[in-house]
Order: sequence, then structure tokens, then C-alpha cells
Amino acid sequence: MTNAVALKVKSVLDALRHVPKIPFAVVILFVLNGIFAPLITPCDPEQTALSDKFLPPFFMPGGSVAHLLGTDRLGMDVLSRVMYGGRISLFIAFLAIVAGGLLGSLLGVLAGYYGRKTDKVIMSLSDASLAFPSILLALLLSISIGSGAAAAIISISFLMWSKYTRTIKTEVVTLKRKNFVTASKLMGASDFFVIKRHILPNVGNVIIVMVSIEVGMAILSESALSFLGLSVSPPTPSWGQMISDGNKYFLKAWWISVFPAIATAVTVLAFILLGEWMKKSLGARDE
Amino acid sequence: MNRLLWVEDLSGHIDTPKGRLHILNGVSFCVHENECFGIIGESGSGKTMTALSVLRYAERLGFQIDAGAIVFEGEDVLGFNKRRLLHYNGGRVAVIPQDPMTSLDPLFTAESQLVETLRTHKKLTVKQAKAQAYAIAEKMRIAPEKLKCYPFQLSGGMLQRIVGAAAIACHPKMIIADEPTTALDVTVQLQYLKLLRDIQDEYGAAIVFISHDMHAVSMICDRIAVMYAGRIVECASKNGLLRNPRHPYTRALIRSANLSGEVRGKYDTIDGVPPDPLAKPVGCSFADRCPHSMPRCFAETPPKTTRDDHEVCCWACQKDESKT
Amino acid sequence: MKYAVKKLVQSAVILFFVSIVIFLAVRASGDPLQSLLDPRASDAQRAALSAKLGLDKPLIVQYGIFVFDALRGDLGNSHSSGRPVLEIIGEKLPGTVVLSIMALLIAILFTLLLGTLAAVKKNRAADRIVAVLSALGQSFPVFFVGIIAVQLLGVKLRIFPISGADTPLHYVLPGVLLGLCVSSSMALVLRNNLLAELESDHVKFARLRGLNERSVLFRHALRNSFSTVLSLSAFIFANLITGSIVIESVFAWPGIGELSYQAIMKRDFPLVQGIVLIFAILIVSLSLLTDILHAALDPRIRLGKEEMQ
Repeated sequence: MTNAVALKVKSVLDALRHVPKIPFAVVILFVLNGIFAPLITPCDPEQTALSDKFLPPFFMPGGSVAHLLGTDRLGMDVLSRVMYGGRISLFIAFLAIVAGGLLGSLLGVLAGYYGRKTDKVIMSLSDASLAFPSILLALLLSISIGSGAAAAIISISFLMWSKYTRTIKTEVVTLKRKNFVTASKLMGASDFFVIKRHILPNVGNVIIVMVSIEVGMAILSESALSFLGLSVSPPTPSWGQMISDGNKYFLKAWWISVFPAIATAVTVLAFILLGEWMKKSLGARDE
Repeated sequence: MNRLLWVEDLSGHIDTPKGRLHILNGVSFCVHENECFGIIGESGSGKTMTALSVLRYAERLGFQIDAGAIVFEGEDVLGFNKRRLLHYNGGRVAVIPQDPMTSLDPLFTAESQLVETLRTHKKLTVKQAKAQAYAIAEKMRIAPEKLKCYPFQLSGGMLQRIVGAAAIACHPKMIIADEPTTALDVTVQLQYLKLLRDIQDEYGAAIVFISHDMHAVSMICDRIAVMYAGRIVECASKNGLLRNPRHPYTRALIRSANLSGEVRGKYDTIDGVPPDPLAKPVGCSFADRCPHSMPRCFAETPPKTTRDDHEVCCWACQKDESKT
Repeated sequence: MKYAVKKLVQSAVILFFVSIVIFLAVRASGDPLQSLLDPRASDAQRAALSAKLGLDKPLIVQYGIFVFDALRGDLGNSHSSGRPVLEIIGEKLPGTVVLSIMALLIAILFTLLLGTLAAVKKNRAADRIVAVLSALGQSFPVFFVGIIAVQLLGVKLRIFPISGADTPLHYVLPGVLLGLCVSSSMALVLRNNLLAELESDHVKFARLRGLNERSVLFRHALRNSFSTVLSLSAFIFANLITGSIVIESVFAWPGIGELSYQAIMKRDFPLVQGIVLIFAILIVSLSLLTDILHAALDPRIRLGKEEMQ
């Protein structure tokens, strides 16, 4: 037992040696920031200080080290808000992907495993969801259950699930045809057991790759939603919303918009690059 | 007969992340007009790369020529500029590729691809080109309605004929057929080979038939060359080679091909494996698998010796000759 | 032709599912009246309004009414202005459609240009630049790029106008930006497909037949690779529509996106419902068109994969 575990750990460590360093570091930073933000922000992100509004970042004249990235129109510290915004993004993106991924994978497994009718129905649902960008769903939800984290999560997960379904279904169908599944069934294993034992481990690889690329998209979607005011509301900081806020004062106080934008871009880019690398290395391993 | 193609001492390599692959190590042969010339060898022997070099396509794949000459109709092929190459490919030398299923563009009909080939090399209107396309299709025993189909709608055998039609469309002087029968069913193979011969008789083109299949080669070729580890080790007329194989490798090949069709208890294979292309060849490449090898075989590369139009590169054979 | 019909039916089915989602989402909170009524309204008033809007009937019936009305062109009346929803949308729809189509054309142009350039100059400077641009294009939120453009080119340098859609010059910035953003993901896909195609057997055979490189590239390799890009169309349109909503708000462009923003502020649910429905129809139609284009390009799709002998 321990041997198998040791081998797995070793293979993971081996893989980590080749990981592209910078994207990986950024991703880790993002996650750590998200988890520990309440402990490490220099200021309270929602604390207003009207006497200190529109302070420039520390490297510009008039800036101070107390507010490294400046302050916004209500005197709230930009750096802290960017960090907290990252936490919100992480939170929402993560939940959206988990929700979407679980739902999508489940449907994919069902579609692939039970085939024919179930497959057709699920596939049409999946096609329908493609025509439905998350923004539209968020629009609708905003007038029913209101805007906020929940609405954002539901909207974004709706965007994500169909990709999982499609991919998982293909995998399941391929695996189903392979002999060991048939053999298991011949020996009387229940459907659930077959799914758990044979299909899930093989499908795991594919999911991991998809997730990493999707996180980037989820963060961007959340950003667009909060830009339009369809995600968390002020004073809770969120990157898209900060960009929207800063729009009005762009020439006067560019830092309010620029820093959250850079944070978004860097994070999304890191996830995309990491995802691409995973696709390459995991794909190569399968051969 | 005139020499149409003359390849002299061609050597070349490809650099890969793993190292330098010495694919061709001094290939020499010649093909005469109107002749059906077979090159036989196992995979990795360099036969495809030889063909690609003659076509000047090998360089696109990273193949670099170290030495040697390729002369076609008296012209130096290696010196062709872009314009001459465009005319050379398809117009003077044509290819029948190995896998017909993937060799045609899936988005165009067979007809349009034939017309395209024709109009590339000759000044024709679309109408004239179409007429010629149908004429050639008839020669290749392709039903006219099949020409209007898309590649995915046609069977392997039909595609092979279409691809063959594209090859002869511009009346090339030489056709290189790279393993043309590998993708076909056995029953279709014989038909196709016969068709190739008929085409040759009618158009007067030379055929270079590359294969690992001794049966196919022995059926239609006039002369056969045997290739091993990037060199031609023996070359003779069909009958000469089959009745009196001199090189040990050739003998082993013929034996394992079982051309006489005897019923035997076991399969005849050749012990050992071909040499690693990463290593620069020293001496005769077949030495380590050869039952007649001598110390000299490992040290010096045997030169080509000719007797009665039967060429061979082998020290052991030379020794035999000096005895007689 | 058969294919077009099949796709039409598929689109109808999709719209059906979409309408269900729209219907349910709006009623997700359970009480659609909350946006309309004063919280101090009496029960009688509540009941009266409920009956008037048909909200006392079972859900299925309500859905049926919704669909039936929609098919007749009646999407209800806007709560805030009282005018028929369809009319309001109709005024602003052309703005969005024009923007979308323009952005799409620009996106296709850029994809072809950049993707081909990157493939042809593989691993050289041009390729790397395209890769970087593409990565940046996919990571930076589209609205931020819009904001920068507005601020730098519009306000500071005063080259382009920044709001409204009055002159052709107004069209440039939003259209180009949206097109660029959408094309950034497509360009890389095209590049990779093109590279694979250039090594394919049929390209090899084309070259060996003596076709010149330009012919090979444009007639054979590019056509085949673009086919694959087209199959990403649904995804592209979703991006496009999302992008246009956002861009419209950045550039104060008179279109449905801007309209929806207002509608949310005013909690005007028939209007929002109608807008979303129209958007969905727009996306589905665009996808349908693209699928038909794809079939026109690729005979395998058009004729089905039947093997003839």
C-alpha cells in the first residue's frame, strides 16, 4: 500500500520539476492570497477615509508607503482591495467550477454510460447552454434572486458545465467499450461500482486539465459580471467592479482601475499557461 | 536504353533531439527509360528517404544531403531552382503515395484535384482539363461518376486509382510508387499491379517501385535493387536476382519471402536487427547478422562489384568470385 | 439542404430549452411581484395584480402562455415605460446587431491574418508576437481594454469619439476592440491547425504534384484549418455577445446591452426577459448561419459520412 502511495508522490514530484515556474508561482500566490487575505492585508479593504482619497501609489509623488497602491475615491486602500478582490474571485471561480464541473461530469457519465436516449437529452441540454452566455443568466437572476455571489456562481457554473459533459461523455464511451468494463459487468458488478472503480480514475486526468484552463475563464467571467454590477456589490471589493469604479476617474487616478486589471490579467494568464502545460505533459504521459 | 535517373553515392542524415540519424550511406543506382525498377528493403532501410531525396522533398523533413549526386535526364536535380522544381514535381517525376485515403484534400472532389494537377503543368482551360481528366480516369479504369465524388465517399482501391491518375496526368517520364500496395486488400493488389504495368506500356514512363513486399516486386519489376541500412547492397535483373542472389541479405530475404510457396514447418526470419541509425556505419552494415562475415566486413565497407550486369556490395561475394 | 433543415430543427429545440431556462430563472425567487409592488401593498392588491398578470395559474400554464405570446410577438409590456417590450427592443436591436457583425468580420479577418502569419513564420519573431498578443488578448478583460482605448484614444488624444453611434468613426473603436478580443483565442487555434495541416498527407501530395506553395497554403491548408475554427462558433458567439454587452456600456453604444443595464436598474422584468430571449435567438441564429457556412465549406458535413462505393 505504501509503495503505491510513494510511487504516486514521486511521480507528482517528478512532474513538478518540469512545471513552468512563473505561472505556477502566480497560481500558488493567488490561492494563498485568497485563503489568507483577511490576515495579510495591510488595511481593512472596506474602511473608508475620505481625507485620504485619491492617493497615488507609493512610487509616485504624493504617495505613501501606508497605501502602496494608492487609494480610491472613498479613501479605501487599493492594495487591500485588490487582495480581497482576489479572494472573492478565487471563491466564486472555484465554487462555480466545482458546481459546474460536478454537474457536468455527472451528466457526462450518465450520458456516456446509459447512452442513447439519456445521451440525446443531455446533449441537447448541453447545446442549449452554449447559446447562453453567463451574462444573460446573471441578468435574469439579478431581477429574481438579485445580484451577488450566489447569482454569479450559478451564472458562471452554467457556462462551464457543458464542456465537462461533452468531454466526460466521450471518455466514458471509449472506456465503456474497453474490455475491463465488460468483464466487470459480466462478473455482476453494479453500475455504480463500475463507474467508480474503472471510469473515474481514467477520466480524472482529463478533468484536471480542463479545470485549470476553465479557472481563467471563470475569473474573467466574474470580472465581467462585477463590472456590470451583477456580482458582489460594494463595498465588497471585486476586480471587475473596481475597474468599473475607476473608469470615471481614469485620467485623474488611473491606479484604481489599472491594478485590478493587471491582477486579473496576470492571474488568468498564469492559469491558462499552466493549463496548457498540463495538457502537454499529461497528454504526453498517456502515450 | 538510356539512363533516366542516376543516383550516385547519395548520403545524408537527419538531426533529431536524440542525435544524428544516418539514414543514407552511399546509395547508388540507376533507372532506365521505360523500365520498372524495384527497390526492396525493410522499414528503416532508407528506401522512402531515397525517393524523397530524388523528389527534393526530403529537405522539407529536415533531411540534409552530405554527399552524392542525383541526375535526371542529364540534369543535376540537386541544383534545381524553385521554378524548375515546381515543374519537376508532378510534371517530369510523379509520385503515387502510400496511403491514398489521406493523400487527397477532403474538401475537393476527385475531378477538381485532377483538373488542378493538369492545369498546374499545362496551359489548359478548365473545360479542356476536365476532358483530359476523364480520359485519364478511363485509362485507370475509374468510372466517370466516381470522379465527381469527394474522397470520403470512395473506397481505398478507387482512391488508389485516382491518386495514380493524378500521377500520370501530366505524362511524367518517371513514376515513383512508394509502397502502393500496402494499403490495399490482397485481391486488389494484383489488379493494381497489372494496371501499373499497362500504364507503363502505354505511356512509356519508368516506374520506381518501392516496397518491402518481395512478392509484389517480383511480379512486375524488370530490375530489382535490395536496400539495407541506407545502402544498395545488390542490384540485378529480376531473374538474375531471384535465381541467383549473391548478397547474403538478399538470399535471406528471398528465403523468408517464400516465393516458391513451399509448405514449411516454421517461418524463416533473419536473426538480429538492423543497425541503429544513430551510429555512424563502419564496414558492411549487415556484417553482424551475416553467416559469411569475415573480419574485413566489419572494418571496410565493401565496394560495388559488377559481373554480368549484376551488382553487389559484399566481401564474401568477391572472395567467391576470385575463386572461380 | 437536408443538413440545413436538420440544423433548423436543432436550433428550435435549443430555443425551446432556453425559453424554459429563461422562464424559470425569472421566477426563481418565487415572488415576481416583489419588484412591482410596494411592500406595504395589501393582500387584496397583491391578489388583484397576481390575477391580472396571470400569476395565479399553475406554472406549466404560465409557461404555455409565455411561449404562445412570444411566438405572436407579444413579450409583454415594460414595467417602467409601459410600452411593448418588443417595440423597445426593436429600436435598439439594430445597434447591437451591427456591432456584432462588424466585430465578427474583423475577428475573422484578424484570425486569418494573424493565424496564418504565425503558422508560416513558425517559431520566428512574428509567431512569438502573435502568441503573446493572443495570450494577452485572452487574459485582459475586454472592458478594461475598452476603457484604456476610450481614455487614451478618445479622451486624451481625441482621435476617436467615445460615445454614441452617430458617425462611421464611432464604429471603429468598439468594433475593432471587440473583434480583436474575440479573435485572440481563434488565432492560436488557427495557427495550430494550420501547422498540422501543412504536415498532412494531402498537402504533401499536393506539393509533390507540383502545386506552388501559395496554392498549397491558401487553397488546401487554410481551407481545411478554417473548418475547425468554424466548429468553435457557438463558443465564439457567446463570447461575442458577452463582449458586446460590456463594450456597449463602456462606449455608451445604443444597443440592447445598454438597454439591459438600464432594465436591471429599474427591475423591469418583462424587459429583461425579452432581452435575454432576443439575445438567445440572436446567438442561435448566428450559430445556425455559421453551421451552414461550415457545411458549405466541408462536404463531409454536408453529405454525411456515408460511404459510397
